[in-house]
Amino acid sequence: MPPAYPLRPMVNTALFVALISVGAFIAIPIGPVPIVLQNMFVLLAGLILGPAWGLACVGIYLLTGLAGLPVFAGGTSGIGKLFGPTGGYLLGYLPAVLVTGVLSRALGKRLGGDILAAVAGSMVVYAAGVPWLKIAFSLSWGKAVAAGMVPFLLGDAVKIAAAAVIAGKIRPLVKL
Amino acid sequence: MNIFTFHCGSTALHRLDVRYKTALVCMVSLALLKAGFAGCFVCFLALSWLVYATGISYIHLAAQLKWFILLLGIMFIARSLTVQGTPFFSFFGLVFTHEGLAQGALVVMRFFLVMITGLLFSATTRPADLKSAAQWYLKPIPFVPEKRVAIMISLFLRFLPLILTQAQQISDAVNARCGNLNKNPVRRIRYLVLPLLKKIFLAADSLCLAMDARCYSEDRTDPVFETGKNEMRFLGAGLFLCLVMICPFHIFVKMTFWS
Amino acid sequence: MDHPILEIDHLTHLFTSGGGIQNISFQVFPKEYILVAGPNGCGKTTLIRHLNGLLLPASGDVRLHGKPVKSDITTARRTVGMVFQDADTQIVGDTVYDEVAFGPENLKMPRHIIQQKVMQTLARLDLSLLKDRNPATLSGGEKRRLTIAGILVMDPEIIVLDEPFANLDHPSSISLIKTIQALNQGGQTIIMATHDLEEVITCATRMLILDRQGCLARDGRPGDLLLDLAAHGIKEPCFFRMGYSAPPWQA
Repeated sequence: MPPAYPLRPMVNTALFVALISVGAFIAIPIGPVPIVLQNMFVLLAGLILGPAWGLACVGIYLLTGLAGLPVFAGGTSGIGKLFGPTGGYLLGYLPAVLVTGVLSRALGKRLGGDILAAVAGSMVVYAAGVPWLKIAFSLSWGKAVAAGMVPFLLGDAVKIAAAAVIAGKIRPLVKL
Repeated sequence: MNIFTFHCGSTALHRLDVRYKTALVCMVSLALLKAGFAGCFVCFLALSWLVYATGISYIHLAAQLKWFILLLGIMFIARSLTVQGTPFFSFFGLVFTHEGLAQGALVVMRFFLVMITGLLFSATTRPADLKSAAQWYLKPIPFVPEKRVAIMISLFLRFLPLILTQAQQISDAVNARCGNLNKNPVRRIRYLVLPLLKKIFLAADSLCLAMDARCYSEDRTDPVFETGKNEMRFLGAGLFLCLVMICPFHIFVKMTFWS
Repeated sequence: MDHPILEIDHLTHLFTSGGGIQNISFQVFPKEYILVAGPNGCGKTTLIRHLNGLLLPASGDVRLHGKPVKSDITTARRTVGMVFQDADTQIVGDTVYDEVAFGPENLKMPRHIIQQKVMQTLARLDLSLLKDRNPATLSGGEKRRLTIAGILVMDPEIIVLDEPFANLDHPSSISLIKTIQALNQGGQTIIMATHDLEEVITCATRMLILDRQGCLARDGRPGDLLLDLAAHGIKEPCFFRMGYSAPPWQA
């Protein structure tokens, strides 16, 4: 027999990298502001793939963006975007997917636990993104939070709820 | 549909070994973070010439960067307002300082040039070559299975356009049944994402089977790179450019306007 | 007579959810063009997935050159190349060139040989001009040819095609039939599972009919089995239903 490779989690993870990138392009208009689904797919990667493959997923996503493929929001890419003023949010996806994956697993992959894990993951993204934004624009803390966090919270609540529901429905279908 | 920014061509920059190209992009980007006004200007000239030489239209470039330029504009204003110093002029009670304007202009210029460098890179590099470069650079890093990563990048590149069209199709199908009138946002996301994920995991099933049927193995042939004199020339020119950029010109050249 | 490449011996594989195949025996000889016909859900796909070890028999045996398939899966997969039904989810590479190179890279062939083989195969299937394209941007017919190229480059002894005409328009189907026929005339052994016999029946040298229980109902020359098709839920070719005589058998 040839050596067995983790082919299935590998393929699933690669497809999730594509989903996260597509998430930067698809927006659902809710109220006046369309919400972009990218960070929801990051949370879903943590919930469905688990911490290790989730981390690989976000790592490859950032790597391809860094290498110059237009996968970041608005079809941008490159070192300039990753270390630019909004780069903190992108780099924050790494710890976020880890936290989400670990918490969801520890809490038994149930709806309530998934919601908690997704909330924690979102908070991690802001914990990385907001201070970065503050430094890049040399803002005060109050203004940084007002510009870089408050406007997105409502959309995030919707996305977290959706991610938890979807994770529950999809998990039985995924063979890892 | 071509969401990749790659432009076909056979210029020296297109033919440059990807590993050297990636290294050059990193070098220039890092040097830019340290560059002053003079350095940025030199870099700007060099990049404009390269953009011209590869035959990318400036208008196309500007169109691609319009949102980024807007962001830079906001950044410039924010900087000019928040940095303390001697007032330059005031506008409805907002005070723009000399120091703020200077710092803002410099930061904005650096980001702009880093962005152009990145765009120039992605415009002249086949996505498939990027994967090979990633594999080569990841090789010395322990605990990273670089061949597996290369295959995953390949699968990702292959499925990105497919998933994008599928997302569009599902959204059309939902809207054809008036799904867009649904007021509950969680449900709206669900109607879009659930079928999309189901399709994707079905695709994963057949993909695994197809890869198995073609003897998938991680003990596989390595990519090859073609390196010639051109690579050395570019590396030399890049190093020189970086040195010029980080050279403290402002000591020799007094920039009277900003001082 | 030549030695058979594949021997399928009392092969049974039933699924708990229903369906599967029962007690199937036949042999595949070099240069044959075998059609596996039967209604949907009769086990065509199950049968052909045993031929390269993607499924292993519950009972019975599949032997490749006298040796059980499961004893050397890699050789089996290399010798029996398989083209799946859905082109979109079996193309792995992100360019046409890389897709064809995927198999040889897995076998760790040296780079210059891969280069040579891939270019030859692309030229053979008329894909050379498309070599830098992302496969997602190809037409249905081109994708199908690409999937065949990805198999052909590994020099398989048998090419197995599962419903190759699904989702293809008429001109693409005709051109695909010609491609496959040319391969067969060049000495390539072909096994094709299909429920649409219209255009291919005159090219094939042999036909197997599976019934709804997953048993092998008939095995013979396609021309001799025309009367049995309807009884097994397979659409007869047009010329036969209209009462015309068969167009010249091409094989």
